[in-house]
Amino acid sequence: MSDTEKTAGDFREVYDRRGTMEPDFKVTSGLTPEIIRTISDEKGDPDWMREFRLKSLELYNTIPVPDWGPSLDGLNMDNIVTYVRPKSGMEHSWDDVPTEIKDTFESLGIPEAERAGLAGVGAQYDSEVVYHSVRKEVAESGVVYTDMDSALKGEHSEMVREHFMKLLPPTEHKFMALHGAVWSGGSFVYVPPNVSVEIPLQSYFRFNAAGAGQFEHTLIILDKGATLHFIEGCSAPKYNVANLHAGCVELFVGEGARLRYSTIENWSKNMYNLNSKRATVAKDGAVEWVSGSFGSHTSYLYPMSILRGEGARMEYTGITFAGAGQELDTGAQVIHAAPRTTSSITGKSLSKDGGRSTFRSSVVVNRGAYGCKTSVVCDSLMLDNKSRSDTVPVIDVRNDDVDIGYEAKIGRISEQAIYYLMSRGISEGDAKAMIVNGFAEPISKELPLEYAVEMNNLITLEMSGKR
Amino acid sequence: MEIKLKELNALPVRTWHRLGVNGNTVETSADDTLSYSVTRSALPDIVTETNAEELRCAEFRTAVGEEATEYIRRESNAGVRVRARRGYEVEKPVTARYSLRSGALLDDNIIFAEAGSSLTVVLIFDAFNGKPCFHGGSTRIIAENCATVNLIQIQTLNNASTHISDVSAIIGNGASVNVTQIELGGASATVGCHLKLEGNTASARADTFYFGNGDRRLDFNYIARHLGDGTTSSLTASGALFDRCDKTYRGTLDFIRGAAGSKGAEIENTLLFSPDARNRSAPLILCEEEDVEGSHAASIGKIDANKLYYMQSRGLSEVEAKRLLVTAQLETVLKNVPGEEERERLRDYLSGRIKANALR
Repeated sequence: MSDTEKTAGDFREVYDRRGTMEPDFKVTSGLTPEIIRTISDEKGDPDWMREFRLKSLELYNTIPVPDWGPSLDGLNMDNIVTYVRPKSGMEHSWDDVPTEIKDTFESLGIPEAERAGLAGVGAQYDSEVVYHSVRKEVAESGVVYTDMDSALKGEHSEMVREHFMKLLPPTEHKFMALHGAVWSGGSFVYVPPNVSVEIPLQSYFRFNAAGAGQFEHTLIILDKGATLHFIEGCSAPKYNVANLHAGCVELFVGEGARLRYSTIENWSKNMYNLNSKRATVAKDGAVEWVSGSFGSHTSYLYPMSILRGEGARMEYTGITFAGAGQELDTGAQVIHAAPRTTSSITGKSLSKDGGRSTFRSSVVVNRGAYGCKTSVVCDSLMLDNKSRSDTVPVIDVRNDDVDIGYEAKIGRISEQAIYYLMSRGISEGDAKAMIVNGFAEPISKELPLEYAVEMNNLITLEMSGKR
Repeated sequence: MEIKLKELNALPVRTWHRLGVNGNTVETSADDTLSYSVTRSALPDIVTETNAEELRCAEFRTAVGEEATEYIRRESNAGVRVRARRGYEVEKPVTARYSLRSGALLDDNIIFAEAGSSLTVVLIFDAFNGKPCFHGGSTRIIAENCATVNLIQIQTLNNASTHISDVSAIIGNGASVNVTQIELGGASATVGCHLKLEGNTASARADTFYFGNGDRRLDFNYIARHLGDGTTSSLTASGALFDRCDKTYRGTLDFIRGAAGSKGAEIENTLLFSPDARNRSAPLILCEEEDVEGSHAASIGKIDANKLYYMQSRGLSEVEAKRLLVTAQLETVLKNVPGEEERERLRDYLSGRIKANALR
């Protein structure tokens, strides 16, 4: 994806590139039943979805803003435009995508990555998916990879209706209610029984409009014995007004199936990233989350795994880098709802230039979920004395046949290590960057090479302070 | 009398409400008439009585919560208020043993160790008859520069009683405060300890042992707040849960900017003996200082089957093997308790409780 020869400034330039093309349509800012009806009309929703949106809005108006976590005072929904449709249809060839939008994705390396080694790609620009494609041989194996709008109205509509916001209902929290009301775009994936998708699928979400919100919905269903690696990427140019991202990811992992969900979030620093992700895992199934959180002004992001079937397992490996002006509250949640389920949560966080990073987790082992094993490990690195790093884990165990391990450490880069590297002719800045890259290695080694390179570049960008 | 206290043991940084660790409420009742006996050791010459007036400039922070501590201090009907004179090491511990029969005992304790002094205070709370009693305690500690305060609190109230205890310490340059809490009784125990490491190289230690059986509810909140340079803290909690016991442990290491070179460590070991027991842990590290080391480790689970098998193969019954493993945890804090007689009483008390539990 990214060129390793590029400098930190070059990367910033790529992410900051603003599209100038006027949108095809957008609603007025704020949230009213009329706006919801307009979105529904514009999208041609089926009746049940229109009702769902309106009920979600009612819920939104009754659910309070969370009284824990980072402040959301800078987010005023009256100023947020919840639906912006670009001047583009949903295309299956990059040649049909409008030049400006295509160039944006080209500069982000998406078509190149598709050619190099992806089973399929979805690309969303503001509120709508502009490109979706899946390799012929993958489609022929019965794999469905399409945009959510097509899935909602096409031959998979019943499957969508059966699963849509069932794991993360609008009652979950205020911003899930908001999502239920204004969601648009996203991807739908279905992998049939015993089908293994050998190379990853990727959806990329590009946000361009100032003062707007992006509310894509990702729904992935893996049938018995299926395997998939799904990659989610996102970025946006920086504006001086608040933008909002409240996406929703629902993952249904069937018996003996295995899903890896990798994310590199690289939102601009005016973004409120209030994203929610949840997986349910059946017997002997597995979900693996690999997560890199770099951008945004404020983030609330804690993927949850519900281990419903005996022998199900989850792994979360995540890194968060909070720089100047950022408050990134990230982590993971797991519910052991069946016997002999296992979970492993590894969180790494870095804070620099006054950034505030919080690792938050919850592990719940239900009654009757005997023979479970769980491990939570959290390492935090403070890169200066202006920043803040908090660790807020909770473990809730409701039976005695469990094996629980928890470790957390906080500290700074070893002066001895810097001294050693400097004595080998490496500058202090490079020495620190090397050590930080080493700190992030457990996450980068879980990513495909191109994404590991991108993540390392983002770390370099953060270390340079040029974001 | 009806007692309702809210927002107890608030987690310093809130998290998801559904987990039930953000705070606690106690609602109970006790006879209007307080009946208890107290045995107090004579104060050595170098220890004098003190009063709250002498603390007016001190900015204490509470772990249990303002509502509870204000109530206890306002309605106080007992207390140990002592001041150790500058430079003196008080060898003999100051002890108060309260035996409740009915009503609400509210003790407002003050321990003031002047610079360079050292003092040990032991507070014991019993309630042997079956009547529900209420104990609410507030203990404020000042350890001036290079002073040492050891506080040992032992709670063996009956199964119908409610216990709330708040310890709040301000620790000066080179001073140390060591708090040992042994929580063996009560229907409900809400225990909080706020250790404010204000002076450079100040140190604090909190060692806790708990035993929970029946429907007992145990709720802990420990906070070590590092403000001075080179401060150290250690929070250790060990215990065992039987039956339907519900325990919540919150432990927070809070490194304030400027607390360079500080270190904090927290360890939690919980032995689970019942499929119906519930154990919640919230070990927090809050950090705004680069040059610190903070660590947490927790081990929660049942007795290792191999260990149990080994002990049984040596002729021990299962109950005896469990008793040995739990009392071994108790021994790690008993070393802080002065007087072999009291240590033996606690061993016997705990063994009796474990055996009685096995017979039910």
